[in-house]
Amino acid sequence: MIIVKELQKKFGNLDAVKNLSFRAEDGKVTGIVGHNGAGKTTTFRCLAGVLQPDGGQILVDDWDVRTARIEVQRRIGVLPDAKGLYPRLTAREHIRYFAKLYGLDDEEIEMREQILIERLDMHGFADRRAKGFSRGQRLKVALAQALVHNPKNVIFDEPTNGLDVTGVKAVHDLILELRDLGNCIVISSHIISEIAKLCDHIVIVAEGCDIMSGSAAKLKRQSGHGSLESLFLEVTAFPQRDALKVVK
Amino acid sequence: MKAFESIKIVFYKEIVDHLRDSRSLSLSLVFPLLAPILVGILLYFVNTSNIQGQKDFIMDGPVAGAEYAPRLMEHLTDHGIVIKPAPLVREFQEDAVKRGDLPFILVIPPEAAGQNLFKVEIIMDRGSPKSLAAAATILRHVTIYGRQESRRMLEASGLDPRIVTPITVTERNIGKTLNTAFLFYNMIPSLLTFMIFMGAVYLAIDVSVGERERGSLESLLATPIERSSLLLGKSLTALFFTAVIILINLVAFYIALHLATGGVENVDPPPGALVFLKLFVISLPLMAFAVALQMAIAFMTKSAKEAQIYLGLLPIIPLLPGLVMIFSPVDPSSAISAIPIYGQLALFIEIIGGRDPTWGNVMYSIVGTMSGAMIIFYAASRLFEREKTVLGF
Repeated sequence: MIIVKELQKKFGNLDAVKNLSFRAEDGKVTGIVGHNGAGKTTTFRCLAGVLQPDGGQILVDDWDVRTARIEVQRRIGVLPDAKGLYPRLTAREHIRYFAKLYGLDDEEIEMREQILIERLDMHGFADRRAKGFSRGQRLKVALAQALVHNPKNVIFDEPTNGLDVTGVKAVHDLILELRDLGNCIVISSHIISEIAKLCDHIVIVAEGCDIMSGSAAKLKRQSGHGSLESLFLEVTAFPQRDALKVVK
Repeated sequence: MKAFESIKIVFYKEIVDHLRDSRSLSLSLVFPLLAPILVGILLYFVNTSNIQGQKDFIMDGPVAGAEYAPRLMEHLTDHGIVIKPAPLVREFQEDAVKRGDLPFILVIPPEAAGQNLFKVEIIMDRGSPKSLAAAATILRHVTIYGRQESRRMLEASGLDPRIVTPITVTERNIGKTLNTAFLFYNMIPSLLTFMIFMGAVYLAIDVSVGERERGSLESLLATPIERSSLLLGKSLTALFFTAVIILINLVAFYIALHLATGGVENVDPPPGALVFLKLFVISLPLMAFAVALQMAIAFMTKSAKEAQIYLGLLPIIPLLPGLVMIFSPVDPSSAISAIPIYGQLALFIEIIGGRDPTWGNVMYSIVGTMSGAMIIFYAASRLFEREKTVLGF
């Protein structure tokens, strides 16, 4: 389970995240939705222990990311916004490298490697060097890296960005499968339809603050909007957003 | 996971990754060969031309009025000067030397004809090294002829010829005749230092700022290992490749210098294998210092391009004291030995000169440089933990 309480993060004079709170339960998909620059990626970087929050608290399975970064990172799988690979390593070597960094022993590495190559359908390119991989193949390797230690909590930043229809469906299936296995999943996206389809709990973010949160049905019902898209467009453009915190 | 284990994992991955970078690898293996090959070729040509010069010295000697001093001409011819006619008119003589058509002109006036005592003139251009060297040679031979004539005249007069040279000086050279080779051997310390700072620069950039530009840094930082372990694993990779490059460089110097001086007599022999081994051992702490500096600089930059500019200039700093020390060697004291770069250069010059540095100075050098390396590495690790390093802005 992931709990974010009043998160704040500044870069110089810029408030990247002003005041953001949400709770992501196990066995559910929590979606963070917002425009570009709303603070989604910064929040994910803080969650992943890559950046240090300036204020607030992040708890992953009751471990505080500020005081127990390593413990948090053991319990979380991260698909970052930048999904860069090492062009001279094969897909299999990427998986093995990250498995070792996550402290898996040889037997576990062997097992997880087989499972992930099978599950993500990587047989065709598992032993090819990453240089020249398609976007979909790159994403699969990055997903395998994130899931290699079988984390209870996973955060995916823009997981379907730039993928074709088949790729998008494969990622959606994986997310739903992980949810059914009882994992806590947090995804970020600016594609409302994707969030509506996948997420049990939605957090709308604008200018570094959470504006509204709840299930898709609840948000629509309580705001009186027929679609999530029109709701999103209105609340992220409306100046008095705090007034719209109807479901928290 | 223990820190040592994390360092090992990162080190192993980086080694495999960079061994597969065939283009950079082949360049980095060829690069350390360039200086040894160049120095070897230069040394070979200098040696062979010197020996040729000593064995068969022949020089053109333009003389105006040669017919007025036949015995002087005979003396010059005996010493390898080929007498050539020169213009007789003063204006033409000066023009010919000024234009460089003739290196000098020895002018013998008509009054010298049949005389024992006469004056000669050498027209030369002091601004031209070629003219200066040739005129110095002809002057030396004319002076020797003058002394011989003086002795002959004194003996003919029944006087002791020693009265004109009351003190006789003889030289006894205990060195090799051609000591120019030493100048080349003394280039090794500065070229070696340059290579230490230049050798694995590309790798330092790739494992640091390159990781961010590739987009792989964030995934790496999300793994449960300490950032200092991550940095140390990467730095050890750069150190490993620097050590390999320096080893290649020293082996290449050994081979090139031995080939360049092989079969050439009267040349100081190049340093032996043990000397090169000592150079390698002494340079190890400097390699750690250089890698720490490269990492710190790389993490201060915003892009690989910017890092390339700064790190490309980095080797110039140690090169400057090195070049000065070729011509003005410094005796290594404990204080100098403890200064990174400067201490190694002083020790390198000692070793190349065939002298064994004291253990104390070697220890001062190791401790001083490693302390410097650790301080800079600490600074690099602080820079690595900055958010600017992660984000690149």
